[in-house]
Amino acid sequence: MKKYRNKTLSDTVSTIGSMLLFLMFAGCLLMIIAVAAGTYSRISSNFDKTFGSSASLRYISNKLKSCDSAELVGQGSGIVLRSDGIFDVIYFGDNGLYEKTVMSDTDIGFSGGDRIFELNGMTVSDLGNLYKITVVFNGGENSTLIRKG
Amino acid sequence: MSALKAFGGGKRRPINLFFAEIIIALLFFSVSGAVIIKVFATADMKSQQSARLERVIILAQSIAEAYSESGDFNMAAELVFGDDLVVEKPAAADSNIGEATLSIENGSVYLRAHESRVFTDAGELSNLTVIFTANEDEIYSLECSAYIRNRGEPDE
Repeated sequence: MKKYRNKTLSDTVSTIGSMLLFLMFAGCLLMIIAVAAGTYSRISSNFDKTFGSSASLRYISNKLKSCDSAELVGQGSGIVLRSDGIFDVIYFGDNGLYEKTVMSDTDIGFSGGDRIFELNGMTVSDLGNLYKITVVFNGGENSTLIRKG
Repeated sequence: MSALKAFGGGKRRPINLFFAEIIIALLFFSVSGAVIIKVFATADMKSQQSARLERVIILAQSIAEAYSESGDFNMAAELVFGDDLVVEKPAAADSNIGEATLSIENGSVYLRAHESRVFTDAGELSNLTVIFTANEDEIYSLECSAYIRNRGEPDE
């Protein structure tokens, strides 16, 4: 009878011990998953914020550099780029950057364009011999300067 | 039977093995967890470095564009940074070779600019090298020039 009691106590301790080990293991695993998820989320948000705005900045700057002439419209929320008689309209509207290509200046307007980037704001300002392009993306603002001509 | 008891008992042996297996598994997963956390920490650090480099490249490009238009580093820096600019060691105005140290990105990144000028009868050729450093390490550098006509040394 004594032997039976001892065996039961030993089994109970073993079971509790193994359960505690498993609990510790599960807790550590959950902690690692939480840390990893947080880090991944931060990396993803950082990536979107940085490269989303810089990609749109580079796109607009390259378009400005390659065109024959440029004109700001809509108080800087859009630009009309002219190259070889073709008008390229890049404008901001509805939380996005839109672009459309038209053959005649009568078709220039802020509608009917293709959405090329998701943005929260875009302005182009004239600083004399330079253009300043500013984009807002996920609350972060990024701007660059481009020489005219 | 007595021999088995001497080794700890025939029925308790599987429990000990079970514990040993669990401990080995925990050890293995702990090491794996440490490696995973290290990988994620490195990825986070690389992501921040990459974002910082991207911002710095855009700043350098903007400085180069503004400088090539005016040939004046102070004006270019003011245009690019505006009120965020903190000049820690301004360039000497009376020298043809000037250096300026600026603190940007809340002091985490420093911009060192080295400017040299060559005056000719036709105009002034200015060369600018901007070097961005973080924790004393160079993260990006860019060289640019500006040629301003009819702004050479005054005739004596």
